[in-house]
Amino acid sequence: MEYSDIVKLVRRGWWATRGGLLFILPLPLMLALLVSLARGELTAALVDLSALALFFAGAVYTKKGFRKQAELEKQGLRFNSQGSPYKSLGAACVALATFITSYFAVGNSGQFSFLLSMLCLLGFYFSYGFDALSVKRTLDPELGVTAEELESTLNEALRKIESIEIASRRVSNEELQHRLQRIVIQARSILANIEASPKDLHRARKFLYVYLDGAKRVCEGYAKTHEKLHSLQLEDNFRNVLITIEDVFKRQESRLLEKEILDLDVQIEVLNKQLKREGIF
Amino acid sequence: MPKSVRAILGVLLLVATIGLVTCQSVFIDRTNEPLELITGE
Repeated sequence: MEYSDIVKLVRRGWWATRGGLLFILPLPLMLALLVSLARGELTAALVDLSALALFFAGAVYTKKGFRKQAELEKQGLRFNSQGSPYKSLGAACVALATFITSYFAVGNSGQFSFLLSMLCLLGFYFSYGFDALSVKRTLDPELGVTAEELESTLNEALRKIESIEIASRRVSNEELQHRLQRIVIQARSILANIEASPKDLHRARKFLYVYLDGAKRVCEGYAKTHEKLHSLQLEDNFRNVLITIEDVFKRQESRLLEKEILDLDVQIEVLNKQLKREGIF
Repeated sequence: MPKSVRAILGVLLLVATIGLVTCQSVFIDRTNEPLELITGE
């Protein structure tokens, strides 16, 4: 195993995301559970066990939330249509576990236990934050695209890009792998553009359904075939296809940007006219 | 509030609240018991 492989492994592990503290802090409760069991106090043991389970569930949900957030950030997208509010769920579990431990296991008063759980919630918010609430976005009806349509189309496209990325890992030729990585970056950038400007969705349909689909099929096919059969002819053909895909993606991206510039020009012109009419210019 | 101050405050709050209740749950009304159980004395 090389050094870069170890770095990759470390970065992909569960410890790579934040929230590890939530696994460590409830550990004394394990000792309390052992003491309760040793004393034969079944009710106390059950309370300790349920609080412990809630603490760990909270920690696991928080970790999941951070993972989801990292995935979305990697994709350069902000929306989270398929995501669950993991971090908020984690915060609720941890706060409830704090209340149960304080009120039932320790025997503090209800008010004090509630105060502790609220302080714990505040601590969670300061340290990790909650999930973004703006999961559902609404779009201007004039755009001719609904938020659901936009999100489902983008999610489908993201899945295709992920398939290309997975296939690229199976390609042994470094040059082809770099080409595929460039294609993936370009495709994500196009999706980010569409997300920022949803009215471009219709203009990018060909890209989303024809080019991206074609790119996915070719990449998966090559990755599967070249493992069994190593042919220079096949490699050359695949290289040519990748060059074409790169070219098409580049053109698609610049077409979207050109449209944006054109839109901006029109807006500036309209604003200029308006300002002149109102005597400001 | 700067982000780093908020994060440190958050960690302190978490350690204080969760740490307090979990440690209390071990030692409340059972002073020295965990120690006795572990050491057998």
